[in-house]
Amino acid sequence: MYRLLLRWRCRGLSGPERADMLRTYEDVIADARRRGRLALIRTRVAEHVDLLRAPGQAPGTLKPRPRRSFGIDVPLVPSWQDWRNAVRRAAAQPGYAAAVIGVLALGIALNTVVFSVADATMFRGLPYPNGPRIVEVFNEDTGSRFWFPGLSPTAVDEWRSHADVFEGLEGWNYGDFVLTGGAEPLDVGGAYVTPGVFAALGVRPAVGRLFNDQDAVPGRERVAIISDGLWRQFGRTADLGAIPLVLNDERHTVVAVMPPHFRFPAAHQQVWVPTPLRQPGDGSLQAIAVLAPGLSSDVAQARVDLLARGLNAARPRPAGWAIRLRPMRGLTQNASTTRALQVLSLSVIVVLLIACANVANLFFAQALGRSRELAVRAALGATRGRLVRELLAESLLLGIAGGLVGLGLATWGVTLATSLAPRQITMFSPNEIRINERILAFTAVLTIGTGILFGMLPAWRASRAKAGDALRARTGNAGVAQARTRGALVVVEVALSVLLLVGAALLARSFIRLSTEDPGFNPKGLVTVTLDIPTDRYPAGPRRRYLQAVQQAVSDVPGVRAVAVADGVPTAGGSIHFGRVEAEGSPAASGISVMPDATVSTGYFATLGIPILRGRAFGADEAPASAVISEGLAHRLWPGSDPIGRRFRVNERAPWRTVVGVAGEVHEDREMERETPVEMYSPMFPLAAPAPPPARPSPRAARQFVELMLVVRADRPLDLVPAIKQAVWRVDPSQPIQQVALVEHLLALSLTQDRFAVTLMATFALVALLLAAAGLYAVLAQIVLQRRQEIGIRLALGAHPGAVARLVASRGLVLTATGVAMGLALAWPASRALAAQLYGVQPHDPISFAAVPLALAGVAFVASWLPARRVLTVDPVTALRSE
Amino acid sequence: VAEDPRRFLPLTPQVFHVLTALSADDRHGYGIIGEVRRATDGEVTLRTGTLYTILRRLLEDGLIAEQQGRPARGVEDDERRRYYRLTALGRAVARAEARRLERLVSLARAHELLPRARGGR
Repeated sequence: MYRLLLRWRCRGLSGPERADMLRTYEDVIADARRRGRLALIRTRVAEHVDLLRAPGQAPGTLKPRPRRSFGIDVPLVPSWQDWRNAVRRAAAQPGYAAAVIGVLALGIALNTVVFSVADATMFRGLPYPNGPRIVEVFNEDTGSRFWFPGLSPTAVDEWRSHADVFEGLEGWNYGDFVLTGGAEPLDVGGAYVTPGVFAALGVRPAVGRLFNDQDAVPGRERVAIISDGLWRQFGRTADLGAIPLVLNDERHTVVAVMPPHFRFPAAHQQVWVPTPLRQPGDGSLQAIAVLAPGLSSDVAQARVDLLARGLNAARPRPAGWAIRLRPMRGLTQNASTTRALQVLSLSVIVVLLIACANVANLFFAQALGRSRELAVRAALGATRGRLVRELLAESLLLGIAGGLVGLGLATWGVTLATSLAPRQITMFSPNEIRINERILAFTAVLTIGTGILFGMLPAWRASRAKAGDALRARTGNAGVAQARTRGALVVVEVALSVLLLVGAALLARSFIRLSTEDPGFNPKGLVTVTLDIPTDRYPAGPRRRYLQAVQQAVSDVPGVRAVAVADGVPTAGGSIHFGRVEAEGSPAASGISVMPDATVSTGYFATLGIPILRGRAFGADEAPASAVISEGLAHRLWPGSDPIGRRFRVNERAPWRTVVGVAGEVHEDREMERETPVEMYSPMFPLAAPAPPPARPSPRAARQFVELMLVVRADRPLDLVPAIKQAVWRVDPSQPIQQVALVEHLLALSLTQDRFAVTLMATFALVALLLAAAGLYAVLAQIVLQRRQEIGIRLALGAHPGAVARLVASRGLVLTATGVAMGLALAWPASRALAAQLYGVQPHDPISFAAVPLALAGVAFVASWLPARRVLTVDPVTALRSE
Repeated sequence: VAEDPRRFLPLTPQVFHVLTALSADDRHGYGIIGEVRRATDGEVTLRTGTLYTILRRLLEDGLIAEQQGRPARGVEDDERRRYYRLTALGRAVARAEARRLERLVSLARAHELLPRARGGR
């Protein structure tokens, strides 16, 4: 910026002279940066203003310069006097001032809030010193090129040895801890990390030391690093060793506290516990790597691909060696959230454009109204510079006021957004969500700049026009060109709001479909009680007996109608298979499917109300390889024939399973719904228990838990919760009860993100509609004002006032119709971008596309009729005399 | 043919500051800004645009000149930087301006606008 300005202002300087000057400027800025952000901003502004000021004496142009075609021959900086006039003028028109400030503030605030959230969660890199070099490492399935998290220790060892690509390779995994010792047990989120993770990120603790390799060795003293927030709960005691940290019943020594605002991998991790690379059992860890310095992620990927090919040839292994690197950003784990934010970001850009058009319109109208005054003053000898400077002061004053109000609104809005936004959006971000100054500045400059530009244009023209022309011109026909400009602005506003309204209508209809859809089971009266069952206390066999006893005890509670045990209910828990599903005797499917698999006890289908369409539900003693599959999966594997007794497997490495029953479809996760739903169920208590259900990864061969749910159906389930708990404790008083949730509530929760998106879109659309309506109103009101004389003449000649009003209103409706047509033409292709967000609604949904023009027509009618009615108040005599 | 330094008087305060800053040492642009700020306890901050306007005029009038050799003592140096030194004329002009100011100050003292030198006896 400064460089450009320098080039422009100091054309007389030679290259080396300019370079010297630029170098000095850089020094000044560097010095200011050391003195803090405020000093930096102040210095930047002062330096730019300095270069702009006193152009007649700018370096290299000491002698008076010839008048240039651009015409600026006076300082551009308004004087004190100009500012005072501007304030006075704004105070004289509070309505206009409020409208400009309001429109600016709204546009700036909305834009800043959404982009701040989007930036923190999607775009901004990691807030760690090594951030730019950190990549997530995924396993890549050689055949399908499908990739998923989790790297085996063998793979980690291998890749760690390639120091030319990776400076470090570390693993981590989510962990949930029960913190005891306080008044009541507390659930805290945490992570298991290999000891080198923090060093790889390049972070240092606020207090204490990072993990070393010894910390992860089993049998050593258990250590943990805690967050600043958790430290505060312990009173920020300086003696870390004295903190009584008991996690999952084990005493841990706190060795360090991370700085405030440190997040890894996201906001809800409060404890970090070291874990060795080699996990007990077949566990694998999510991997992150630090690329060797100077290596881009693409280059690293190319090298890794080459190395993997070599490894596959030299030392083949079933899983293959291929890995995929992806620069780590917020929200990598959820494509749907990213998509939702992209849609929101685009929508807010549209709102911003509308706000710009509106501000332009307002400023333009204002300046138009003054064109005669300006012409007169120019004729009386006011220099063009003086007039321009004065107008600039006015535009800037309103702009700055709007910007400040916008800043206030945005600050409040970001707080509001973080509390309203679903956790999927705010929590899974390694960055703290706060106002992004750069975006704020960008938005403010854009909107205010637009306003100034449009505010100055007519002033420019007016001050240049020959005074005589301007004075002679009748107000009636002076503004033909201007009216066209303003009309065009309104058309653009209407078109853009149609775009948003269509989007909002589609999302709203999709949301209604989602929230009213039959989930395939009966969630009413269902409650889940989550138990974390320690595997050391209950290995597979005893666990089966224990759970059967619990199921029996709970079903004996008066009021309970049915009980089942499962590792998940629709929308919560369960496990997922990936792979090419294959029916015995047929070739495997060509594409990878995502297949939810719930492990369920007897009575599960009856308890949830899922119909068994063919075959049977699981019996008390079920063969381990039995499966109940959903109707969709049955249809996909054996279209048109009876699946009972036939075998399938979820991928080529999985065992064959025999279908014993076909269950009705359950709609649980919309992400998977988009493909054919392919649910399956496994028996909870098979005869010969094979591998136990997957345990969560644990740091050592320490205590592991199996998370299971009791699913209870009752008429008034919440009233029975205490009795259900007592029944569980009658079997084993030491069994902790993790969580009690209504399934209806879980279902509603799964819609949170959609509800958030719909609410936001609706807000945007509403704001857009209001802005467009205001723009329309302003244009028509201006027309009535400008054509007062003509209207007066018409009325004097006997025209019916209603007919004249219709004439004015029809102008508004023509503008609206043009805008709507353009908007629909835009929305038709654009709505396809929403397809992935929609459920049960086509992107070209006729109802949405029909409803929007109707709604707009209604609003436009009101916005046109109000100013048109003013015609009726025109008194022909005064109107004619007013000239 | 010596030029009369008084031809340039009075100097604007900023020009005077620039000349004073160059009186002891040759400096580059940022060095001048820093020296002026240091000497005035931060009261005067020259902006880059202003400084180069002044430097340009001083160069044209021969009050300062560009230093050809690069100072060895500079800890860090940059190809792009140019160093400026005071010419004999520049020194004479600065001195003349200082004398002029001195006379103004004694005038103010004589009219008791300022306390008299040496404690106002």
